[in-house]
Amino acid sequence: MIVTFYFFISWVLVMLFLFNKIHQHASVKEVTLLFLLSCLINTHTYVGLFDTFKWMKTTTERELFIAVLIYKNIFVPLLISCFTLQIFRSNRTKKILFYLLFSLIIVSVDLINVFQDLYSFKQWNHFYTFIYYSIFLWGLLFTLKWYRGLDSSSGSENNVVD
Amino acid sequence: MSWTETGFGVNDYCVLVGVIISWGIYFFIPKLFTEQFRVLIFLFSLTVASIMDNSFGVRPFDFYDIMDGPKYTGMDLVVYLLYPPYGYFFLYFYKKLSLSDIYIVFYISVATIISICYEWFLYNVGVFHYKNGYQILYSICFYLFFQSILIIYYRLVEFKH
Repeated sequence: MIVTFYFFISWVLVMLFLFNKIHQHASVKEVTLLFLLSCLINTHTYVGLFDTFKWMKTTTERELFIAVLIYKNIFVPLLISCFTLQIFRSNRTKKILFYLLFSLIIVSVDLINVFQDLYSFKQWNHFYTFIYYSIFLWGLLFTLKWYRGLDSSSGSENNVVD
Repeated sequence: MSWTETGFGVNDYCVLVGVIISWGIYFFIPKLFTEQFRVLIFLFSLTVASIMDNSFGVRPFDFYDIMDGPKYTGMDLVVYLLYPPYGYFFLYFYKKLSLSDIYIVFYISVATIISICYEWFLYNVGVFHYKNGYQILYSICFYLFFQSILIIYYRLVEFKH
């Protein structure tokens, strides 16, 4: 059930990226950067939380673990990339609204995950999740800004094609 | 988080030598791609390796451990530094050789054989420890899949450009 739920909303997000206007002001490279970076940070963060620090305990059931994998490696990167792009190009009022909506979605899915036994908290809570994803989101916004200025600041390379 | 679980051994030195050599070659060879695209190649290689390790290398699957054991150590992170230069070399030679479409299958197959040989070497020096029935041959599927994805992505970006 929960696997299908995450698979479905991930599919919806992928379709929105492919056929809608989420990324109309961003290049393929920028969308890829955000998605890959989100995957990289999120997968290491959750391994740190589950295994290294043991602040959270994840499920040992294979079916539920597949849902955890879809959640942290596909759903969250797609969602956070989508909101990064929306917040990046919006005015101040819309930025705040998008940020509130993002926080609401993230805390809601965190509640669902705990309710569905995908993971449980030991030295962690929903507020920490909110703080983590807020820092994550602002980090991605700064990364996107840095990435956009990258090639304009390094135009001295020869024989370069991309 | 400590650097190693059981102190510095052959596996740690092999990883450090591999990292120094691969990054040395990377800095030495001409840069064929823009800085933006190089960042993406590095990220792709790092992310794929991280997702595989953090998905199939942990419970409930737990098919393999990296370095000394299941604990997350500093040297586990150093291993990830091996992947970005490899991803770069893979696309570098693809572009440098200007391969026509008919040779792409051959190119990916050769790259997969090289990857498997290197993984076999790392397995023998104790960087990878396979568990729960996992065999090195299963890695072929991952190499074939992700190297194909990288070439398809490169061609997509090149086409858009």
